[in-house]
Amino acid sequence: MAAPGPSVFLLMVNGQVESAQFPEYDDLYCKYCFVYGQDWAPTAGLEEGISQITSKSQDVRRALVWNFPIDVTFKSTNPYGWPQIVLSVYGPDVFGNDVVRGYGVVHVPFSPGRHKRTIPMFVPESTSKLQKFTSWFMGRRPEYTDPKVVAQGEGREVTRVRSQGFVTLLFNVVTKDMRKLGYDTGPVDSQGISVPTPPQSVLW
Amino acid sequence: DLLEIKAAEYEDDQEHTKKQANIFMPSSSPVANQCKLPKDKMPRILEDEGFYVQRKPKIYIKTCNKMENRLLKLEEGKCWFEESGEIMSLPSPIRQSWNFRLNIRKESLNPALKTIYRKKAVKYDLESSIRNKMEGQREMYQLDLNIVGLQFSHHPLFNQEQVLCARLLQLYECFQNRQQQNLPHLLYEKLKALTDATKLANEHSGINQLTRKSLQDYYWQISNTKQLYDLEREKDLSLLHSMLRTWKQMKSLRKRQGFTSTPIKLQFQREENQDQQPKADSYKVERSLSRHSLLLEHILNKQTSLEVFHHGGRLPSWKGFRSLSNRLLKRQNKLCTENNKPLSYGKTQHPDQLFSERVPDRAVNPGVKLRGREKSAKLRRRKGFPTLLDSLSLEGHLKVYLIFRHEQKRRAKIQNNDKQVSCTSVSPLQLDFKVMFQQIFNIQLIYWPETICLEVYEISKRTTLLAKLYLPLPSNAELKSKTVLEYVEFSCDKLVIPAYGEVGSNVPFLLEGNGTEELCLLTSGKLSYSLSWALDENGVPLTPMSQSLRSAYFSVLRNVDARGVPGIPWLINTQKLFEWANEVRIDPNNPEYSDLMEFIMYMKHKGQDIPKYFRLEQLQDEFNFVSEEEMKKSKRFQLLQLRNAGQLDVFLLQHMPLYDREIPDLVFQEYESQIEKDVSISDVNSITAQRIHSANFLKKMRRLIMKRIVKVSRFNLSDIVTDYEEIMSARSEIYQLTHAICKLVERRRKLKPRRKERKKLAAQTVSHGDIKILVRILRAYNIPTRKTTVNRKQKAGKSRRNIRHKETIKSVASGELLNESQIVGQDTVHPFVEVSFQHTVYQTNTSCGSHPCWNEEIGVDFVSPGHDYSFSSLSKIKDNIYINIFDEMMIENHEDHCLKSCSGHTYVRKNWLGSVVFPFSALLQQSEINGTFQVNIPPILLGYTWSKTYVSPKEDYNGQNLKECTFLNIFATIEPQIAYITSNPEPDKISSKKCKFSDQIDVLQRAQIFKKNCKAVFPNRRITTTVFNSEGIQILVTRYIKALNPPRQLLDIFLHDSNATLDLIARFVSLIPFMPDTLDENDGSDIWMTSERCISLAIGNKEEHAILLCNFFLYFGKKALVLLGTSMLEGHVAYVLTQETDEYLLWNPLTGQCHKQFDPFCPLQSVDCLFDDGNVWFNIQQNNTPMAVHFDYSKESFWKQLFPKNFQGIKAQSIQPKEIIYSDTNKSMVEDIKNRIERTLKCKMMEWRPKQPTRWNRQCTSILRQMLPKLELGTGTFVSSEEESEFERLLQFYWVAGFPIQMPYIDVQSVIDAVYQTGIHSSEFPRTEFALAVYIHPYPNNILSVWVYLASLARHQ
Repeated sequence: MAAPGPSVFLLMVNGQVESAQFPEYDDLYCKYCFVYGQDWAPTAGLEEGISQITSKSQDVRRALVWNFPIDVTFKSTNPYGWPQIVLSVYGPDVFGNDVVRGYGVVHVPFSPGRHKRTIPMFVPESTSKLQKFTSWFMGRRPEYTDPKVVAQGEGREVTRVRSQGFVTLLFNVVTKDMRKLGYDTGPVDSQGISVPTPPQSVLW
Repeated sequence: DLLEIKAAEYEDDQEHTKKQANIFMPSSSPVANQCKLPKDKMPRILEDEGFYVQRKPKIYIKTCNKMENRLLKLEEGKCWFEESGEIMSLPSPIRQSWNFRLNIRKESLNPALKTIYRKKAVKYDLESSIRNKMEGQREMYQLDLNIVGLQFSHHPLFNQEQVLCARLLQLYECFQNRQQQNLPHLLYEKLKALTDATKLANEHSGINQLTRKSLQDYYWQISNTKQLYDLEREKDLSLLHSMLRTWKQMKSLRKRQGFTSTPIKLQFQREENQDQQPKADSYKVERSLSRHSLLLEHILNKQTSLEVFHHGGRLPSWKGFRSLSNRLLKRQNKLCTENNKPLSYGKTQHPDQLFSERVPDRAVNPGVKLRGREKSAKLRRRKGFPTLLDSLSLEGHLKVYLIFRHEQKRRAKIQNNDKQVSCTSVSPLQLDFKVMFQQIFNIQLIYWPETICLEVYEISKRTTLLAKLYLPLPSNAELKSKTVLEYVEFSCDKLVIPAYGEVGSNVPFLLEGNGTEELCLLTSGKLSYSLSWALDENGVPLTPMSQSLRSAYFSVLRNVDARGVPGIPWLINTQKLFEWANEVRIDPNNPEYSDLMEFIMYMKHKGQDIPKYFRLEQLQDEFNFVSEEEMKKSKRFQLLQLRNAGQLDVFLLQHMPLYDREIPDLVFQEYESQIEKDVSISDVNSITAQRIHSANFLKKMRRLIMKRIVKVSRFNLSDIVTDYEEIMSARSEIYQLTHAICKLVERRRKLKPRRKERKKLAAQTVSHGDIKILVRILRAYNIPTRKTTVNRKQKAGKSRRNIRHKETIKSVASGELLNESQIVGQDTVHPFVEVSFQHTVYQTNTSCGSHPCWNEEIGVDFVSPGHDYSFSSLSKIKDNIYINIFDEMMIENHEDHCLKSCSGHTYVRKNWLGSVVFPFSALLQQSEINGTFQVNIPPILLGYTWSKTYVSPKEDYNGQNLKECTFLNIFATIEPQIAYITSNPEPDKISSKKCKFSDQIDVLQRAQIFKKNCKAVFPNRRITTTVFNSEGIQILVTRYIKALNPPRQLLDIFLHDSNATLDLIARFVSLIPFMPDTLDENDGSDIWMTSERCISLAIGNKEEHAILLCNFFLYFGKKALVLLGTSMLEGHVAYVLTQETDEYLLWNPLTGQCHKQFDPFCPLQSVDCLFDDGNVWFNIQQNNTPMAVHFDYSKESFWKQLFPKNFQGIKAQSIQPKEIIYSDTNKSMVEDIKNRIERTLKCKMMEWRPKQPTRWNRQCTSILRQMLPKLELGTGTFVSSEEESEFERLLQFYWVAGFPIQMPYIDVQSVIDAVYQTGIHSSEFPRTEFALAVYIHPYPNNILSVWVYLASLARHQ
């Protein structure tokens, strides 16, 4: 074999953290980071980001718009551990302490193209009323030791959470060499457009 | 056109609001009834009128109102409301309907959607093939299949009468079955017996409680049986009813159509019922019974009286048809020979079998009557037939194919061939929908047939398959001689549209008799056949199972049964039989067992290729991507599996390579070698081989046993959610609250800084580079100083030379210099400390004097292998943290020929003085190590002496002489603190149940409960009550303790000095190599070997060492216990506690050191648990440091004991052997090792000094060699006088620094590492010479004490 096939496939994600709906809160900012498996590595772009603080729009929608760009490229050899984007939204409480307003997670879409995702967000809860009061009073809401916890299933059974708000994300996904390595993720019709030859010969 | 240009998606706000306006929002206010109902109508509520209305599902009123409002907006919305004004709704959302069978869709199903049924897992036909091999001579078997005939119970060509007839027949059959069973009669008998018994009991009533009770029981039974009886009678009756009804329908049908096409006839017989009057029994039960029967009689009489039996009157009306049908009939007669079979069923009706003992005379008649009827019935049928003329011509021919399947085992691919063996001739359908074949097929077999399949075809215009019939294989006993016809039923859901007045199949039709009944019948029928094994000419049955084998089977069963082994179905559960046979160890030569052995042999032979599983997922292979072998071959898959199992520590890839070719084979080799190291030990000496072997053995055993222990690791809330721990308990919460409130009023500036707790970090959130180990070196005490004598000489020499040089310049100053140097020389030592971890070395500044103070903090970088910072992988790290004290020595080298202008170089050399070592795991466990520790100093430090100024590290301590000890004050911690996750191991219960040697379960349970209780009180204290032994069986720790003999040789050395002997024993134990166990395994489910095992393998963990030492002490009659606790430096430890007359001694089995209870430098930090051969004690004193603990374990307020004083059954047999037999160590092997070590060390020394030449001083080496053997047992003077003098001579020319290192022998590498740690090779002084001597002192059982004496010599100038 003179020219061996590709040894990795690439996944390019760009897009943005567009906006959020948090009916009760204002002046929020968000952080994002990616959680991915062992066989994945970022090759370009930022894995983590922290956005500006935004206030609610004055119109009816009361949207919090960040339009915070995401641009990152991963390489991998194994679809196991597909990247997930973890979002955590923070904002001030009545005393002006920064407290967490929501955690959320979503997998980067598998198929190439443009995807819009709306993620429901949640926060961990205190276990008792007294603790709730204490944490409110102290200005320290319970929060995850590591936001990446929300991308894992392990250890979640000990927590209790409350849902609040939504964040809308936009992804543009481009993949390279996935099909060559035998992973078929795209929709059927996109195959015909990108490849002029009949699909049988494309696979191997 | 690759690019698509589109405007950005944008939604106008105004449009958005407009959209909002368009949305209809129904109000949720209730709607008045007038709006919902047609005008001028009041709601009608059915329930109020007394109708039963099913309860409707509950809907919220708001929702309901909304819906109503919404419906009212619609034009036709009102039709949704019921008369009551509510929305129409069903009581249950599930629609109850029956839409099965009728396949109205004309177009055939999409072929892709068709269900294809695959065969279930194939059970190979091994028995038969094996049998062939076993017997050999007879290989052909023969099955005789006689296909007799076919009778349709429904056929598309049936007319309505025939349908009714079939039904009647069915009912009759059912009735007959019931008659045979005769349940009512049985129940009646029972009732009778019960009433009799009651009567009897009543007569003797009032005797006692018992009879009353039984009487009650009788009554209860009577009423029960009565109910049953009534029920049965009811059933009989209803059956009769339906028969009667069908018959009536038939009759009316016949009447209507004007002919009969079936010869059937139902006859009811009236019965005399005068005799049926019950005897004058006064019992209530009987009475009710008889009333019932009377009632029945009454009904029957009425019905029978309505019957008209005679159809004969109708005969003449059919005469007209007769001529028409003549021709056809003749042909029919020819075809059907069996036609004449009487099909009319006469019936003697016994409505009440109860009283059938006296059958009235008239009941016998029907038989006679029947015969008479037969003829007329036949006639009638014939006459009636012609109307079916057209349809008869359509009647096809049936053909039965016999299809015989069997497995072709020999072929590579296992496949099922459907082989058509033969087919019957085509037989025509007869008039009464019977087909006669009467053909016998002889099927010769080689393999065991899997299925025998008959296919029924109908040939009319084209051939269609009606049904497939699978015949069961006959049992071996069924021979040709006694063939009985068997019936197989079949049915076919083919759709046949009726054409000429027939009924069709799978098409609904109305039965004319009672127009409401709609029927839909499927073609169905019965095939009669007989299947049996054939006999050959000699009358030997051609069955596959030989008689001899069968007898073997049975005799085995008999024998086995006789021995009372549980689990009789051997033939099913052979596995158990093998186990049993193994257990009992039956004598294979005993003729009594011969057949059993034969059977076992046979089953073993057979079992070779029978899969031991029953495949439930028949479709599994459809879902497999690739075959199993291919999967196994895939290297990538293997690697993934290994990684998933967490066993890929050696080869940690960041990425899994995509292709197999990119994966080096090396990975697997490494992994395998990790498992089994004993591949490459061919060139190693036997003792080393033994070491490697035993280490591997232990690892393997550990892994095997750990497999059987289920571990559940759990996260705590505090691991996941922060902020929790601070508000953990209510008390601290309130404190926090008040604190927070106070903070508001508090003054800004705080004068008193308060200590803040460090935040704990969950291990799984830590990433690379986050962790550091902080080691703070505070100060040291009593560091040895350079020997003044030597120094003086050197200094003197040096100064003399200096003087000589500088005489002309400054003579006065030289004197001062001399004085000064002498004063300084008193206490000259320039110690510094090196901290090394994971091959990285950190160094403090150099201080001065023998009580230096550094107060330096060293941040040691920490890298977890594989960048995995989860707790489990952290706890696997076995690296030690070494803290070495060195003396920095500056040596000025003056070139002789050089003038004063060139002042010469200053060379730095460091001399090792001692070290403190602790494992990383201890740090991880305790989160900090803080205190003053005794430095491990070699017994002799050449060139150094103890400092004259003694400073005690603890002011209040004035115990034994500690002048010859060095102490170091350190503080070490991991930054940030890592949370210690405890895992809850749950040992599987089977392991304890299965074993024979284990303690009784209740004792184990008691131990578990005890442990749990103790943990509840003091969660941080260690308690071990049960452990696993090397077979994975859970046993009590107390069973490890038993007096055991130490090696004879050791006892002989100090015959009279018992204390010295004890020390020697402790030393012997400490020389057994120690295997560190990882933290997470350590928790509650430890595996301990017996002391004998420990000695013979020459390896052991902390507890095994302690147990061994304790057992030896017990041998001397000492009061000794094993103590579990924690030590500052070592983490979890096991010590041995001995009780002397006035004090308690604590022995560290790993070092052989003995501490008094009140020794402040005893590293033991907590005393948690004690155990001996009889009991386990848990420390429940508040303070558990050894100094504060009361060791009097008999006091229950201080020590909680596992067993109460006189508890039965704890004196279980110890698992230790009676005595240990020691073997001598092979001297030549020891010599070999010694030479190896020496050679390797010399090579290494040169390797470590790549820039300088390494010279060996032979003279010094020989002196050291002589000194070394004395050190092992050296209690008094180390050096004899002549050696001293020799040394003196040497010291004339050299400055000598050196020390012996002693260690147990594990492997060569550990010796090399220890030498490397001392840094003796790092001397840069140009003409340094080295001396090295190795000595190995052998103890029994290949336990060796290695001494390495190292010295570096610097020539005086």
